[in-house]
Amino acid sequence: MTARPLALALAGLGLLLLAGCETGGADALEAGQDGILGVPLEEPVAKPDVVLTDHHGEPFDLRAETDGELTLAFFGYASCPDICPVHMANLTSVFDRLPSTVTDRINVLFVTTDPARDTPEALEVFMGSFDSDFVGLTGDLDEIVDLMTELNLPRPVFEEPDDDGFYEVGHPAQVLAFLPDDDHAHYAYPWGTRQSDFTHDLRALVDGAAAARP
Amino acid sequence: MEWWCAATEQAWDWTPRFYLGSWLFTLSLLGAYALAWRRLAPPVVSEERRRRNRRKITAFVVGALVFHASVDWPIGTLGAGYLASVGMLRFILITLVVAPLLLKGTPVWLARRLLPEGRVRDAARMLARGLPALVIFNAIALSTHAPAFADPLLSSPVGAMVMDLSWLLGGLVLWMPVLSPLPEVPRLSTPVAMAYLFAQSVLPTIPASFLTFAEYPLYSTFELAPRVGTIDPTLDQRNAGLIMKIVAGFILWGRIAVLWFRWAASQERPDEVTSPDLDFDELLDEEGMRPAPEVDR
Repeated sequence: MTARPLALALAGLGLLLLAGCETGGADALEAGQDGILGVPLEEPVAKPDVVLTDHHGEPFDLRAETDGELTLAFFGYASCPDICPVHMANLTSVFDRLPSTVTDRINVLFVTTDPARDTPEALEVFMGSFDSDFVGLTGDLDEIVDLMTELNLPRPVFEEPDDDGFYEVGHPAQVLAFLPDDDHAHYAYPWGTRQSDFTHDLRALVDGAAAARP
Repeated sequence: MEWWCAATEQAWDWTPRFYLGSWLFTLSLLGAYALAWRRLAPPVVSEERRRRNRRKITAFVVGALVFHASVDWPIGTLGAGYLASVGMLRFILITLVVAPLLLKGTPVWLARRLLPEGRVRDAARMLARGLPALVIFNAIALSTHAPAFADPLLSSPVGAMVMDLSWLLGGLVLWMPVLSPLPEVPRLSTPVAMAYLFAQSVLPTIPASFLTFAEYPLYSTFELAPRVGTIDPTLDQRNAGLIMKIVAGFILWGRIAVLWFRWAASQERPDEVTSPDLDFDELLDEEGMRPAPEVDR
């Protein structure tokens, strides 16, 4: 083996590694014409008019509290073993990287799909692992199911409890993004959205939501 | 029961998991080795020979057990699906610990069987030269650490197995120029071997830097895995980069030090027959052979 093919092989591998670092896997989100990586909703959905209870036990008027601000909403439950804590932890990491001038204009809402277990006290413990500005919300199950239906999300599915009484709850895995200028959800961030994708989009949606919106 | 440890997106807990493939692989490896000793080993003619055989067997068995630990619960499970740092530890263990131990545990008569004369041995001879071995090992290391390859591989048991076995193969290729068990596949001379290992300790700086200084997690596997405790994936990835650079460097530099001291000792006692690595001493006894010639390449 001579030096030239070896050098070429090494250079090729180096490029391969760099390419891998850029794409970060096969399931990366692709930017639309507006440059946003989030998946555009076919039909934008209005922010529901509902009052829930936050993780401090205080009433939380969804529209009034988040009016005119970029708002991310995720439906899950505090005992969730996988998707919910990962989504929230990744959003926390994203918030750690963004300047406060951006994060101060973003609301992150975690709405429980399991209000029977997720009391305000339980939610307070769960939310304590994430950014202190994130808000956990609970309420009556019917109220939450209506809210999800209004947002075109599938209703929660409760599995049979195991011997210890633990049960899992099927819930939507995407994060909805309500834009600040019209308070409608325009984008969804499916399970698998990377921290870099969130960072990119949050900057863009906060700064130029109207321009970004299709 | 699963075949091989891979990313599953299940929440991490300390409940042991059973991987059929990794157990079958380790048991087959040890079984074949035991069978080879029983059926193929030349008769033991001296206590010294017996002592050296025991050392070889120990090296091989420890190598096989470390391999098993690297691909089984909990290290294998954590490294394949939860923590990049543990994944890197597995890579280091398999390539820089297991591979040299397996080579050190392979007696000449077995190596001759495994690498029969002809194309196979010619290929081994070519691979055991410093530069090709360096290129092949680093090609395997780079490609299996590129997120575009690593993430899909780790998502399936077969892919994860291919990754682990390619690390083992790459490790064997990497160490052949230094620890070849076969006199017909000569080792590098000690000064060249030291330079070779030094080069290998420097090369991972590039991928390690990517991991250490990346702003975001590079691997979706570890970024989207259920968390183990409160370990953040970016910090975990940073640790992986440091392990790649520091731990691997420590092992390679340790080996360089061993080679240096043995070489220095041989220079002080030029009348004694010594080989660059004393494992070749077995060739000096009942097999009636001289150690493999050192070559400068």
